[in-house]
Amino acid sequence: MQKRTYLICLVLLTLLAPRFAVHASSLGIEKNVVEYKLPNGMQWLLMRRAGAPVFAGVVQIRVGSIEEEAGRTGLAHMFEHMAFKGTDNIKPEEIWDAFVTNGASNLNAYTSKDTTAYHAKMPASKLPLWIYLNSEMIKHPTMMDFEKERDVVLEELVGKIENNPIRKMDADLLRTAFKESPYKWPTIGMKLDVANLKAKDLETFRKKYYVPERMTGAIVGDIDIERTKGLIFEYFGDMPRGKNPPEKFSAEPVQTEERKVRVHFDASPRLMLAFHKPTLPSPDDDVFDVISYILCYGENSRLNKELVYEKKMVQGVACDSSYPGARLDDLFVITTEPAKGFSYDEVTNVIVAELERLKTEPVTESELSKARNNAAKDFVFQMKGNEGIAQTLAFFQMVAGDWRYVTRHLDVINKVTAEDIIKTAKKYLNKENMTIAELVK
Amino acid sequence: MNLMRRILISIFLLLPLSLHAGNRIAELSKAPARSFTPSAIKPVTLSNGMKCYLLEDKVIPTIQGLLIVKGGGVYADIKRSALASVMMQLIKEGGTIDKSPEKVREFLDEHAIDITFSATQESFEGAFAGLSKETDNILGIFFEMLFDPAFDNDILTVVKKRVVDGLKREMEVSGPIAHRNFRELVYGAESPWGVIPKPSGVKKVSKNDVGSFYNEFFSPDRMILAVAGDFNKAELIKKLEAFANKYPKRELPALSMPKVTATDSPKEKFISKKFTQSAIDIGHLGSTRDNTDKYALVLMNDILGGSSSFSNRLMDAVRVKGGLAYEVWSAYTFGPDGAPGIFQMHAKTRNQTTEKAIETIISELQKLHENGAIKEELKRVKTGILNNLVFEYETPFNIASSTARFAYFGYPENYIEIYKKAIERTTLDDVNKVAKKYLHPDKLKVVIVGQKK
Repeated sequence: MQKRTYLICLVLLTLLAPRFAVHASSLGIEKNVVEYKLPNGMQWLLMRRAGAPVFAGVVQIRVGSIEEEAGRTGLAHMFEHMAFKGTDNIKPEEIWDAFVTNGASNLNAYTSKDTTAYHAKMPASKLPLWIYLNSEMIKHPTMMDFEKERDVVLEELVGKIENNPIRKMDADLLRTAFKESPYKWPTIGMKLDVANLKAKDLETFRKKYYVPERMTGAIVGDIDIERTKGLIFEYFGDMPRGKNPPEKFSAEPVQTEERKVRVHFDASPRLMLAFHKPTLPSPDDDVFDVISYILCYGENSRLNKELVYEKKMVQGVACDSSYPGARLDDLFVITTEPAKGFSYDEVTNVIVAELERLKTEPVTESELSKARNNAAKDFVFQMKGNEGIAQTLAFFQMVAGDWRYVTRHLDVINKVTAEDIIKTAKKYLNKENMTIAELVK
Repeated sequence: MNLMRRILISIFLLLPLSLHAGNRIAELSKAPARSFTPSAIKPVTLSNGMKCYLLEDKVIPTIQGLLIVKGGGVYADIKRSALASVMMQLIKEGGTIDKSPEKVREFLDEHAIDITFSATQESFEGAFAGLSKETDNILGIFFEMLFDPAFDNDILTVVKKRVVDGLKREMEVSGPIAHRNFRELVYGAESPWGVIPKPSGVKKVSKNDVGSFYNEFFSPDRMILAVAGDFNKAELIKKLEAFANKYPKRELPALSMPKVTATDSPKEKFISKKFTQSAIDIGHLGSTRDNTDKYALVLMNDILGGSSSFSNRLMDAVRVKGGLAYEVWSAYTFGPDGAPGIFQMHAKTRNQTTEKAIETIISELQKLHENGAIKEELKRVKTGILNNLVFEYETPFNIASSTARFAYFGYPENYIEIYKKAIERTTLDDVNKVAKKYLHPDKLKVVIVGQKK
């Protein structure tokens, strides 16, 4: 659900130029983050910030729908629901209520292809409660009211996928683009799989993946660092280390011909073009971040200018350089909504022509400069609030293995040249590597 | 015997553990949210009449602003659908007298400036954000777009097509279809508060319509500006005064906000769509911001379905106990004098359980109306609201923009403190009285979008 935010953030963070470095250091992120690792392997990132007496906290777990297998999907998301349904020590209705009555803001949890996260903002005096409740949810969940909650999840699935043209199209695009990768099934799971889920399957799944070494917590705000460490140790320190299972995923075979899927729904036109690409830390992944900006993100970016304002063929256009996740090789996706009177082929041809231009004509220094300026601004705003900092640090720690990925990444990005963009475009932005999804009535 | 002793010992061993854990939440909840009330921002009124709330924030090198203009979508001719939205998008994209639309886009890109313009029913709004070193460029382009719009005809075509397309796309998803039709049913199809914008009406909007509509509202003395960021307040005031000289106030006719004429009466509307899940909206008119019962109504709605708690009545009955829906909530909103807000209960459920979900929702409403709430419920929602109030002050921009919004609504500068005290002193009797007085289970409008089963 919120993964895209991070991926957009990833895009922005990867567009950093020397000008950005000034801002990064002036924000004081690097020197103010305190790392704290429990003996059981759980990693915490803490940062004290002046301001209102509040904090933002998140616990990220390296378990997403890619940890599932075909025929048994939906486990990660279903557990996220059950985490709030009571523990050995707390009644089902007490957990959520305890957060809410104690002033939680933006209280939620989400599951993505790559991770599961539990997060909230709370008044500073409620820090011990936040840590305690999260520890209970993670350490001692029960499977109380499992069948009822499964019905709720099925309602969520029906609403989000069956009855939503955009989500249905996303799901069909992934199913077509990926043949072996676990990115091919929806995060929420296949309907039949979810309907057949059993409480004991969930418990087995949790025991396997909810181990401290796969967990990162982040707390940012009006906190006392040493006291926070003590609370973390008190509530999470007794978790057994367990055994971190090895990660082994089916490799996606190289795509050799253009694929197309027509998604049937009584809805207005929508077109997606997707290209396989490597994920971080591949240098090609960095180049795609820059390409995304030049094609889509700016007010006057290439596709916006040509398709929206000059040719008036589409209502809007967006690029995602890391879809649908970042732990495995993923996709570069261009999404657009063709205007009445323009066929999918006409719009596709204009986009493909722009992609061809990337292969032959170097991008201008002005385009690179605009990308850098906007990246600097977006980074500063992303890191402006407690929540943005906590979520970003935990996410990159989880996905890239080190939150400093952000700063290390600067040098890499600064070396991306117009020539790199030509090489990368030539390597990946080809018809035999392209999957097209079209929404048809 | 040994077995019985073993069981008893186990119970005794477990009991303290269980009590300890049960009490842990109560014990950890005791610490109250620390009181935090930043000093009120005194407004500065520029020579052109624009009222400004300015708050320095030296921590991060950014500048962020919100501008509220008196006006809004309800003032537009309902035959010129979405005129307010078209106008605001055109201010953003349609260029200025000195700069073509493309030049404006290029300027925003080059200096990494985010600017948006939008319309609500009872206001027009602009917002800007950027790095503080770009402050002069940000203010310059923002005021130029606001006061010298060119309303480029070619971009008008782009915007109208986008608005028409947006309306069509909105009506392809069950929730928005239900919400639009519910408002129409509550306020009436001819009321600007309830009318559903039609693509044919958008197509009629001309550059002349946009220009005339703009001229009814956009004078600086009808604007409130909030700015927070890394600036020196005295220097910023000087800069804003320079813009005030450039953009003086204009004499505009007095505004008269359209009143709501609808009254509550029961009515049902079924909209057949090939969805496997129905969207349901149930409710009636809400109330106005000047109602002294407002605070009791806020608490009452939280008990019914307005809080994010799983213990609110709708969530408990429909989702937790019924397993009927993932999404279920209620809202009770407050409008200006003469134009009450709306009371709305919403759920999405599979077509087969639509009737059951509606019955459950109405039954919960009736129970609250007839029997009222209990003190534990009131304590729970009250504590939640009071503990959460600190987030109104979470960032300097929150403080500045909230203060500007309160000023726009005519609230006093210390409105959060007034709100806090009013919530604290509201009693169970107050809540039960408003549940009786303002909830009308016999006058419900019901909208269902889905398939009949």
